[in-house]
Amino acid sequence: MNLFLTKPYNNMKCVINNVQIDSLVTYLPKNIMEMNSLCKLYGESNVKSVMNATGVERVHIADVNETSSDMCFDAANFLFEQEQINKDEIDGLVFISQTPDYIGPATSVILQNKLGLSQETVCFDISYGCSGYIYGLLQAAILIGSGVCKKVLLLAGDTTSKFVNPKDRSQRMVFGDCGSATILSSGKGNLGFHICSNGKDFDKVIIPAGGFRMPLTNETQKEIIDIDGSVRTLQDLYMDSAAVFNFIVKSGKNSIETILEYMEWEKDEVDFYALHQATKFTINFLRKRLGLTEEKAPTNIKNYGNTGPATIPLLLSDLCYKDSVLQVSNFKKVIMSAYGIGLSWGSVACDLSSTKIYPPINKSL
Amino acid sequence: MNDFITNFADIFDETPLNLFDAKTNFKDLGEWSSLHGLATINMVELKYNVQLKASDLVKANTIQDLIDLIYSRK
Repeated sequence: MNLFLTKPYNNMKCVINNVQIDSLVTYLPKNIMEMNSLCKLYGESNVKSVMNATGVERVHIADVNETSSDMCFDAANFLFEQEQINKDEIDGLVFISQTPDYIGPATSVILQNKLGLSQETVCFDISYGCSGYIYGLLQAAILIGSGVCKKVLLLAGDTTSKFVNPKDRSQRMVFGDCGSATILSSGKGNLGFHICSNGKDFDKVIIPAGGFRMPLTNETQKEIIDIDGSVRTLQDLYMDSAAVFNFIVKSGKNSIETILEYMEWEKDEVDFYALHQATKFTINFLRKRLGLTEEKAPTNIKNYGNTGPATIPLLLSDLCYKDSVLQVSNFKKVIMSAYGIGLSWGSVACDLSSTKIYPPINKSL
Repeated sequence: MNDFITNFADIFDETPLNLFDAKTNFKDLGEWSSLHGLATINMVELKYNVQLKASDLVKANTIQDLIDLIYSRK
């Protein structure tokens, strides 16, 4: 058995010891797009029908020059100030995003300097979308649990709106932008993980052009009209909604049941389920399949949409901050679960009862 | 049959239960959307071990049509 694991490793299920989640906050861009404002463009009945299924009424959209790292930078600085963190104590930085500043260098290294962190900081960029927060927690926990780092800054955020074609009704009415910052450190807690990958379905959620498999050309800029009337180019985000729905419901249910069994936790003794906010319908369907109440597995997609790797920290930040109705100090057993591009998915079991959670920066509703 | 109607109604969040019976034209329910279609396919596979396709749902109109479809595939 590995020294930093408290339970035997078992097919990508593990518990990493001596790691705690100290604090977290999220950053919302100031621009808000109301879905009702799209009625003229897409037709009122279409807009209402999509809103009814997704539950999204508005999303926050980053400025043209505002990047994921900018939002995460503001979130990190907020935590440094509020938690009076000595920046020299941070020795690890993990940046989860599919919208980095550059193809190279890694955005995490740029953020190390911008945030004024020590040069003796190990920095990682990890390219994941909706499942990204789970992978970020795993990477941070590995760094701390193995003794490589003592305090890790996890930044997760995306400006997915910039990958969505304005004429793509189905995606435009779902995705919003958000950044987040989470600080993990060595301590008394432990984090349980279950992680899965399925590259066979890599093309179910994809931005086909812009990498080295399909470089940007005039061809990749040509607009294609989908069967449902949505318009996109090969440089825009594509999602096979039917395949993704089935994937989320099956893999999400399986992953949560797997982590519960591995942790030897009963479903009902879990205090809070932080589920990836894909659409209201998907969350409700998954919740019903798992037999969870809305109180224990709430949604907040109405005001933010699907913010990719930031949905879980945004859910916690939005609903569980100090003095909010949901008292995080009671959350001794929390399950987080997310699923997304890759395809990739996973769940985390943790104790958040000592975690300081702050409301989203720029929260207006 | 009642079992299927209950499972089908469970996919909906806002539509009252009394609106669901074998004769219900489910596409006329205000809440019905393509996501409900995906959920129906998922539910039928999970609960009845029958694989429906989107085209099956296009042809079906009433809940009874769905029940007949499932029985014919079992």
